[in-house]
Amino acid sequence: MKTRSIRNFSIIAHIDHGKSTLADRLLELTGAIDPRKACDQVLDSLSLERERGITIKAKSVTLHYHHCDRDYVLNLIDTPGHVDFSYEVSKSLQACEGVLLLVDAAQGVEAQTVANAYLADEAGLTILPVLNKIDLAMARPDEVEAEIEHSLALEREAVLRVSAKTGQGVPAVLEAIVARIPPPGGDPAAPLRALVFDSVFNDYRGVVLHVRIVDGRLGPGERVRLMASGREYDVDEVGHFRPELRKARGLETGEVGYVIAAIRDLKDVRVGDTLTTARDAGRVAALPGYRPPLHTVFCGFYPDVATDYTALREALDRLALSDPSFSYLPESSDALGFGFRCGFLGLLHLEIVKERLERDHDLALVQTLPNVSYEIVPAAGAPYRIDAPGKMPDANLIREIREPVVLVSLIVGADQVGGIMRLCIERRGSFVSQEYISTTRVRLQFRMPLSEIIHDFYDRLKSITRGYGTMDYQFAGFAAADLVRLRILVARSEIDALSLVVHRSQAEYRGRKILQKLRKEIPRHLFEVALQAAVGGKIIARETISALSKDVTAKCYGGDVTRKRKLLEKQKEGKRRMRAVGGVEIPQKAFLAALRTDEEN
Amino acid sequence: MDSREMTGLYVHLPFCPRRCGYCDFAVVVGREPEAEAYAEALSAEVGWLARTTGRPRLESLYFGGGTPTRTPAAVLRVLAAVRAAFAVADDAEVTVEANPESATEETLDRLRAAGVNRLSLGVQSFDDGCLRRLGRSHDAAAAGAAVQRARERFPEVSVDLMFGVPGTSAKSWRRDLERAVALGPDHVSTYCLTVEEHTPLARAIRRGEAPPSEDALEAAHMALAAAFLPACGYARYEISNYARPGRASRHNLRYWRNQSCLGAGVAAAAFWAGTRWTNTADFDAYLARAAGRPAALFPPGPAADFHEHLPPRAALGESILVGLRLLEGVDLGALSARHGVSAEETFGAAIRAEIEQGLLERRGDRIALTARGLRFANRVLMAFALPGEGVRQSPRAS
Repeated sequence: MKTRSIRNFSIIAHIDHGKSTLADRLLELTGAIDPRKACDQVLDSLSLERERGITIKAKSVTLHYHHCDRDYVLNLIDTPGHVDFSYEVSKSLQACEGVLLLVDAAQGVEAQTVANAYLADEAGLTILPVLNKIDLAMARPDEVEAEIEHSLALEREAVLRVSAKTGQGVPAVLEAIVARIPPPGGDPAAPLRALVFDSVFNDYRGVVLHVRIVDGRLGPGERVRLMASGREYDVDEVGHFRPELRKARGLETGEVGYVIAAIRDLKDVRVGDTLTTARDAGRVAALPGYRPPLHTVFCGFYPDVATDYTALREALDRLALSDPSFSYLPESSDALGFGFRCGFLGLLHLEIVKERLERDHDLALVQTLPNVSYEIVPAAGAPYRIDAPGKMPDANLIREIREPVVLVSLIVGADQVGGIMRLCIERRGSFVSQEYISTTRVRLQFRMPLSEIIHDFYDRLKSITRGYGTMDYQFAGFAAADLVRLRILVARSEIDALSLVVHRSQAEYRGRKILQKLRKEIPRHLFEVALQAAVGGKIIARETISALSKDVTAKCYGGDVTRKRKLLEKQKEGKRRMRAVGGVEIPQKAFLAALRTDEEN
Repeated sequence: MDSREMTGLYVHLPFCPRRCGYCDFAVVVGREPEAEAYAEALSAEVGWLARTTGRPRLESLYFGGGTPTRTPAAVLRVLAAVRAAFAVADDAEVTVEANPESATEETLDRLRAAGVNRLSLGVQSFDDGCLRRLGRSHDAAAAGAAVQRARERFPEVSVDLMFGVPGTSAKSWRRDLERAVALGPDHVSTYCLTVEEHTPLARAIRRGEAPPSEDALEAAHMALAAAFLPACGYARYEISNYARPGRASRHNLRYWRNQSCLGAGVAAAAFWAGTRWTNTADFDAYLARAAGRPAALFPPGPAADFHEHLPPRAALGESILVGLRLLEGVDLGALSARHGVSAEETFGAAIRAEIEQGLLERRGDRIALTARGLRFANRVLMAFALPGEGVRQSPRAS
């Protein structure tokens, strides 16, 4: 296959704008799947992705397309659609020459549309704007074209109009891919350089590398080296995604495919690494690295039952292979026992990892309140970062605390600007810019502490904008802030898992909220239980759980014996799962309730 | 002297004029026309029970409900069937539960004539406001008169009272106790109003239409009864029960001592040869099945929906956790011998921990709840539940 017949592209879109449906139509039109057998959304193979309607892991498929008497190979590299996964998007984009920028003709340009378009532009890719869902009664294609022109600086004339659902306009998309996206460059005669843009663990095959051949060629039997890790392997098999793995004799310059090389040690595979042959390793330069994942959100994961610790560790090891973008380190808590402190790309990423652990690995987890990392400037010594509130030193040892700040972009209705302004300012945001992308829709930018965003910001945005507002954010450095460590005490013992870092102005409010939740969920004891929130040595909020006066069943006759015994068994079982802190038994759900971000207000 | 095994028999009569808001018993409303058919089914089940158990001698017979006095003919019909099927001891305790409004002179006379010797009256309160809130149809005067009528006819009369009812006070509860004692019953049961799931009361509390229960008030009222009744000659012998000397309920003692007891009727429970079973709570299903043959070997009986047979450790735990409801407590040596498991090995550490907490006390080979333990009995009894060691319940397909 000649390089000039290859097109490597991705589809980028805001969530729910129809990316997976368009991918399915492309697969059908090129015969990669049989439409009669196709189960919807072939590329969203993980159940979690299908349920949430989002693509989490980048996956690829090779399409064979015949047009104007020529055969083309189109490599579609699927990308995740959520703000948290801009890292994964960037990985996929590195392997492409062009992108389809998909925009819902009814919803219009959204915050992630803009963010993704910027990423593609920065990567120097050709952008084909595609307007989807033009069959909908609510579609407003002319207005949305205007939005694309305004906010993304793309030519109106370049916009393709399709309905991925009905297939209308999709053949023109294939033609445009061939006509407008350039073929890959690269030197077939040069030593091998292949970009590892994804890796998947397969129970039978071990690690499957997803690669884009930049220079040279790669076939089975070759001894290869991963340049960053320095490890060498013998290639067992290479091939294409059709979308199942189809073995090939070799992968040529510009092609996208997979490599199996009996790689078992997960830690040796670094996504973004360059694959070359062992004999050329000394002579070639590694490809420019990917942006390393930026862990912005952290939390602790603890097994519900202490004995599951090993199972949790193994599950994390496995998950880390298919998702190298989260980190985990052992930690221990007085209240929760042994667990792991994990770092994520964002809050959704956290939820997805948690659900995968619970669902795919059948683990019951306790999750601590998500937090951001903080930069501590000590009274003496060099600044350092902490990723857990419990690691915050005493106030008198700190000169300054800095927190991560992000630049938030929001696209909302013009009539919702006031509400969003209030929300952002209430969350310590500072206004940056306001821009009308059409007569009715506005793009707002704020600088905000990241911690304010991971704490139910998205839900508030959705409720203020009746579900239509969208957001995206990018990291904008660390900034000093008046932050304190809020400690929660039960019967005068600190619950380390519940302590958090908050802005001084919010300490009392947040503390009170947590105590109220604990008061509802901690059962009464035979003695009075004091719940306190403290900053430093100062108690700023207090609640009391009064002592129980009696706990006795009135009647127990013949018919009640079994029921009573079973009830006691159940209670005893429940008691075993409680954590005892300072003589107080705290049920799991009390932690969970206190850890849950505020659902009210 | 008859050497056959002694046991008890409970017979359930589910008919009620209406369902009280707090009640979660197996009752039926408006099915009185079928009382005769029900009595027929009961008689069949009673006959079957007697045959399969080898006609044990009954030392107690208890007609509960529902409202047995609402269908006196059914009670008499079944009583006759019981006498025909079992050997009823001459001195057997024969109890019938009654409501003040249906405890008419005529009904009481008929019951007494048939050999009933103990009447248990569901008075609940002598306070009209409290009775109204409980949704009872009788008033305080009717309750007093019914106790009088019962006392004139039966050698033993028991009165049920309820405390912890929202809107009551220590003063009104004390008045209830005084009124009850003044009427001179032999036995007084004091039940704390319990909010059972799926009852109208539970729903009303959830909707905020009724006040939630207050454990401090309940504890105070329980303490009041525990001080007042013994001072009047009624010794507390179980968490909720008080009796004059020698007048403890022999039937109920069988339950707390975890002794065998048969059961007939809708939702009736039985415990025989180590197996415990419960009949279907569905009136129609019971009518259809009671006269039939059991699906499996005995036990359980033909209308059983559930049965279990506990392994020794769990059975020992069960004996202790029901037995501790009695103020006399349990004899660990005797129970170890009965179940063939050492109580010391199984529960020794737990017992010592509860003693440490001041909730249990040891009296020779016996252990019993302390005064504080009686208030927090559930906490103590939990120590004798063995999660995972019981036999999984085996609901029988109907």
